[in-house]
Amino acid sequence: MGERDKPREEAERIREGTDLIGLVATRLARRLGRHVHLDDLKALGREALLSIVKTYDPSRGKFRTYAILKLRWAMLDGIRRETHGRTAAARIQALVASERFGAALSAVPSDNEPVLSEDGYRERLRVLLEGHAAALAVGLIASVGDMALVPDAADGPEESASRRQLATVLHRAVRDLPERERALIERHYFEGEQFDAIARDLGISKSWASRLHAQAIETLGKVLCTFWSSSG
Amino acid sequence: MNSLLSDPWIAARIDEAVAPYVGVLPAEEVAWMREQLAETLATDEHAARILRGAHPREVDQSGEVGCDPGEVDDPAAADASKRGRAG
Repeated sequence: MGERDKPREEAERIREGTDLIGLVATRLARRLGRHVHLDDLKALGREALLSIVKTYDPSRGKFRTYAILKLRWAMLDGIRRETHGRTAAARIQALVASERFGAALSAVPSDNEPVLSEDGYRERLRVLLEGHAAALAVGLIASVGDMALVPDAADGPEESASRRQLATVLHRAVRDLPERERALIERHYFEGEQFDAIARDLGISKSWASRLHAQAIETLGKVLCTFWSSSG
Repeated sequence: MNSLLSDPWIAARIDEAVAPYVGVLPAEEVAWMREQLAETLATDEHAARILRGAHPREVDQSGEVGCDPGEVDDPAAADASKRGRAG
C-alpha cells in the first residue's frame, strides 16, 4: 500500500479507535468501581487516539489489539496523574503494575508459542495468576510516594498499622533487588517517574525493562508472602 | 461479579493465587484482586489463550459446574468456560 492510501487508512483507524474508546473505558471503569468517572476515561482516550493511530505499525499486529493496549495505558496514566484519594490511587497503581506484568508475558507473538499439554497450560495459568496477584498486591501496597502510609477515613487502627508494616516490608524487599530492578521499582512506584523514561535513563529497551519489572514483581510477591507466613 | 468467577474451576485457580494475601491485605482489597484476576482472564488475549488450554474438558462428577458464566469479553475465555460446562 502506498502513501496515497495513508490518509484513508488513518481515517478508518480513527473510526475503529473511536469505537474502541467506549469499550476500553467501560472495562476500566468497571475495574476501578466508583473511584473514576466513565466520561473522564473516554476523554483521556480521545486525547490519545490520534497519536495511537499515527504510531501504529501494521507489521507488528492488528490495529485493534494495539489500540486497546495503548488506550488502556493512556487512560491509566491520565487518571493516575489526576487521582488523589489513597484507595483510588492505590488501585490504579495496582492495575498499572498488573498491566505491565501482563505486557511482559504476552510479548511473545502467539504464533511462536509452543503448544503445551493441559498440565503445561495449567502451570502457565498458575504462574500467570500468581504474578498478576503479586503485581496487584505490590501496586496496592506501594502506591505513589508515601500515600500507602496515609490512612483513609475508613481505616481502623489495626488496618493502618498493618498497611504501614506491609509498606515497610515492601520497601526493604525492593532495596534487596538487583540494581536495575530496584531502580525501576523505586523510581516508578515510589517516586512516580514514567516507566519509559526510567528505561531510557537506564539504557535499556522498553521490552527489556518490562521483563525486569516482571522478574521484580515475582520476587517481591514471594517476599511479601514469605514474610507474612513466617510472622503470622 | 465477573462472570468467570461463576465457573468453580476458574474461581478455585483465582482463589489459590490470592490465598497468600488473605489476612495480609484488607478483605475488601483481596475481593477486588479476585475480580481483577477474573477480568484479566476475560479481557487479556494472552491470558485467555492460556486459560483455554488449561481449562478441564470435562465436568466434575459432582456436576457442580452447572451455573451459567454468562457473557465474557474474550471469545477464548468464553470458550474455556463453556468447555467446563459441556463435558
